[in-house]
Amino acid sequence: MTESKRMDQNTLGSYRIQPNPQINVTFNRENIQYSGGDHLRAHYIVEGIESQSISAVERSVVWYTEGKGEEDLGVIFFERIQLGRRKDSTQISSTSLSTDHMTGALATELPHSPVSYEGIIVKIRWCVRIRIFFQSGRDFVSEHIFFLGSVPVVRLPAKIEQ
Amino acid sequence: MSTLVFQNPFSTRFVQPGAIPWFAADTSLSTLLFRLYDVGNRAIICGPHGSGKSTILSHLASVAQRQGLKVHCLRICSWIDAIRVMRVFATMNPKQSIVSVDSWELLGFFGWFLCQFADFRGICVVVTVHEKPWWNNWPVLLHTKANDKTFQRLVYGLMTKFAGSKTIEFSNAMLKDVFQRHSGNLREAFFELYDHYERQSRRTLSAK
Repeated sequence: MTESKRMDQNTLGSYRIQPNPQINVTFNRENIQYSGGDHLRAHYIVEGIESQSISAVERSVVWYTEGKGEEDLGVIFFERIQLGRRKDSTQISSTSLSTDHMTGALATELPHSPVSYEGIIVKIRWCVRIRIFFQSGRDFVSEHIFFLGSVPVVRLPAKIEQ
Repeated sequence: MSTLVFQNPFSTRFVQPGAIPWFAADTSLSTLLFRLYDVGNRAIICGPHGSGKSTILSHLASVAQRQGLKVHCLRICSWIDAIRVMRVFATMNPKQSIVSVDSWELLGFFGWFLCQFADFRGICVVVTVHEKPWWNNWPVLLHTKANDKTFQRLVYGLMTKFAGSKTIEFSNAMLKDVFQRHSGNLREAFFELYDHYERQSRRTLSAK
């Protein structure tokens, strides 16, 4: 079974005023399973918000640890697109982002490590992270998980499972 | 190959200070910030381990930032961090900035010295401590104490927002039991739920 998780987070969740956008990411591999050295290409669409309300978009490919301890993070691709504002209040942006449809794409070569790992105490996750900064100063993060390598999911020892 | 994501809603990233909301029936964060100005810009948040001191501090910092103040967030790990605090106190603009310091008591004697220095410069500062030191004359802004209802509310919030599996549930009785076992320490209680969640979700996988 292949299951991709999307996690959206408003960094000031308890003060949410701005409507949350919907960000959909499509990967160049349907099963979102990659190996070290593979080329990752992802295409994203931002929906549910006015493009004028956005001041910048950051897209990155990162790995992070998740579990009971402190979080580690590695960034292998990062790009920030600043949407400037002209005097006539129309937006200007770099060519890689269409302001009409709020779409974009990113591509990068994946390293050989660390591989995705579904452990009990710690997990290593790879994801494409899209972060939107609003004119109001708030931001919104959307993470789209993919898998690097093929380490099987850790199962509980039989003793504990019983 | 079988690939699955076990998203555990009790992972550090979801339960760390600032990530979880703060609930209080009798006061709001803005009210707390106004109270801080009323009591002279320097105050203490006091409470036992895992009662939400750092969470409140983090949310207060966000509110202050939204009000246009420059916020310096400092987390003390040992008395050596007194140098860092001193540097911030000495270089910041007291009229447009606020300092939040987590685990102030770890500064030891230097804490007393820095209190005097903050008073002298008129710095706006909020610190967290487990117990108010006898030598500190700053007023207590808030005494934090978690209860089992707050714990349940936080757990259900986390489960709704981040749970990877919809089949895992915790009963109120179990949550109350976990909360009491850890004497009201939310952090430890969340860690126990992390383990429960991992066991449950992997059992579900084995059953499949």
